[in-house]
Amino acid sequence: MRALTCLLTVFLATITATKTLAEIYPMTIEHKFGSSVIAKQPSRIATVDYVGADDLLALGVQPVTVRHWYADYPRSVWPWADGLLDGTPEILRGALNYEQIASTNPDVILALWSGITADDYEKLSLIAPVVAVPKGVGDFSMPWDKRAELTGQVIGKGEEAQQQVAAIRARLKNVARDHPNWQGNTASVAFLWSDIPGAYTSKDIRPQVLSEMGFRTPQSIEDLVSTNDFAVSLSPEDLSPIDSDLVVWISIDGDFSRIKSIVTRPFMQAYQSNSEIFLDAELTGALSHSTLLSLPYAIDRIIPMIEGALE
Amino acid sequence: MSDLILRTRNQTVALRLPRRGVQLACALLILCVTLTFASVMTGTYALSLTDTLNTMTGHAPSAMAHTVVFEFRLPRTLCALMAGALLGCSGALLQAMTRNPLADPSLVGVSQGASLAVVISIILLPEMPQTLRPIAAFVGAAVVAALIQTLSQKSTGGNAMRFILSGIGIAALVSAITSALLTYGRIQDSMSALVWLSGSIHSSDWTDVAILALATAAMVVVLPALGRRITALGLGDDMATAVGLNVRGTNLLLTALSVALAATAVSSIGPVGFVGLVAPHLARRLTRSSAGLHLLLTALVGALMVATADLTGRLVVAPLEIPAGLITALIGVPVFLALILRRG
Repeated sequence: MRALTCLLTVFLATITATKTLAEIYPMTIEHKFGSSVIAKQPSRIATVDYVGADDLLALGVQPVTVRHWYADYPRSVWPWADGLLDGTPEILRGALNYEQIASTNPDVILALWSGITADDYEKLSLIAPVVAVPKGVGDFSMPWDKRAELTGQVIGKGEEAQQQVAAIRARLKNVARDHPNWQGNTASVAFLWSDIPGAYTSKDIRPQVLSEMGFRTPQSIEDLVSTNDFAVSLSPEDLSPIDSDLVVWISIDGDFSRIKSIVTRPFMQAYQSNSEIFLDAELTGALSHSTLLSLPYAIDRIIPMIEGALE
Repeated sequence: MSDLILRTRNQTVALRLPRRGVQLACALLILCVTLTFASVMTGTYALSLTDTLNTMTGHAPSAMAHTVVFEFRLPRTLCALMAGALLGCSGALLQAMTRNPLADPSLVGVSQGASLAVVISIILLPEMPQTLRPIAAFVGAAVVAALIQTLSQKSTGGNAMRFILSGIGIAALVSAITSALLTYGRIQDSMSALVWLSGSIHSSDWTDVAILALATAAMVVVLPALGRRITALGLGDDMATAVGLNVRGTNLLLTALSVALAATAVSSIGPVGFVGLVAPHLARRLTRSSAGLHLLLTALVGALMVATADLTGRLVVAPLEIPAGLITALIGVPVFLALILRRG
């Protein structure tokens, strides 16, 4: 009897496993607004995600729309993705223009990092099935690997997506192995927004990437969490919460003059021991995107910077 | 004889209307219809004139054409027209009540009250269904209006100027609370609130159309009956009381109606400003008319203003859409200044 139960469990497990792995259309995806049915493997993929083009291009699919986030690149996509993009898709700027999306005649619309509202979802669903973030996941808090894997699953390239995610994970693991002196050190990712300094918590993608390399977010940052659990604001009078073995300053435009003139900055240990690094606009963007294309770029560039700061 | 006289056969009801006013109302109505067609013909999705006409007559060339015309273009156009009419009349009623030409629901805090209530619902009660937003907006607008009314009430009467001044003060306070909430809220909720606050009409659907249509229908029935009271009120509180008007009651009624109209409009298209301020003045500039006819002309001018703002916002930098509220502010602020300068 026990053997039979065992067999049955294994059998059931195999079924569930194959069901999540092999893409079977029609595919039903559950998400925060309900569920969407994708009738057959989609060929025209629209994305309303601010970083949505990257994962599609990484999986060898040309998106029919891209959403403009920030920075003035001619085709909106960032340098690490530009070479993979053929022609110019519809660039979505500002609030969503539903007609513009309809004019690309998409088979499916991806909304995994877009902040679409229920109203938006209803309108977009009239154009094509919409895949939104799963229930309980914040509009901008789906982890990079889950986002890439769901994108892959929807377009029928789930396995490929998983392989690419695994490859990036392996890269990060190797980085950690090659740098035993980084392990267990603290690192903060800090920024200055409208002259108010702040830092990301361990819930945010940027410290998460650093943690895969062996750094942990200082408890002093986690202690400040209030409404937004992925970032905290600090007083310019006291930067001590971000003082750690490594301080990573980011900037959306590469201008660090205001950060460098914060009068309390020289009081930090990290300042005195020269273990601050400053990520330029492109590297900041790559970490913020955290896609299958931007992460390898970000890892390549950040390693020598950290090595320089912590030698 | 430039007046048009309508009377029933046995003369129980007779109505005298200035011919020019009636002609103007007809012309504005035709403009509204033309604008509706223009708006339905225009958009990022490429549809030829014939395709659009075929779609409208029920012979859509594709399912997408049907969606574009009937789900994207028509509801937003109708919402813009009706919300504009409501906002225009809301302003006209406030101006009549306060006898101050600068009164406007977005100036004395009524729109801000509606906005604050909606922002509270988005940021503090994110689980609340979107369909309850109109009610939240209405409650917010009513609370602010009641507050201003109480603050400006004096035993001696004569509270019009106090109403405006306390309104402006309350508006500043309410806006400050809204900003504080936006800063405090979770980033995704704040973003959603900001989109709503810029007053865009692009996600209007048929539910919004139905709500606005009910409100507009009610307004068309109620307002003409108020013409006489408004005319009497225009004589000043003492004279109005002398000719037999219950001044306090009328003030309360006009305020309540004005709030109801503004709250309904704001809850469906966001706080589109300056329409309530500008539309009554434009209507008055067009022709001299009785109070009732003036309200009708104001409604039409308001409708044209918002629908034009929406269409313009879609056209100037297409495919990027500029929210209608920004366009009305761009037009409204200079008009507002011109009005102040003329009075000074």
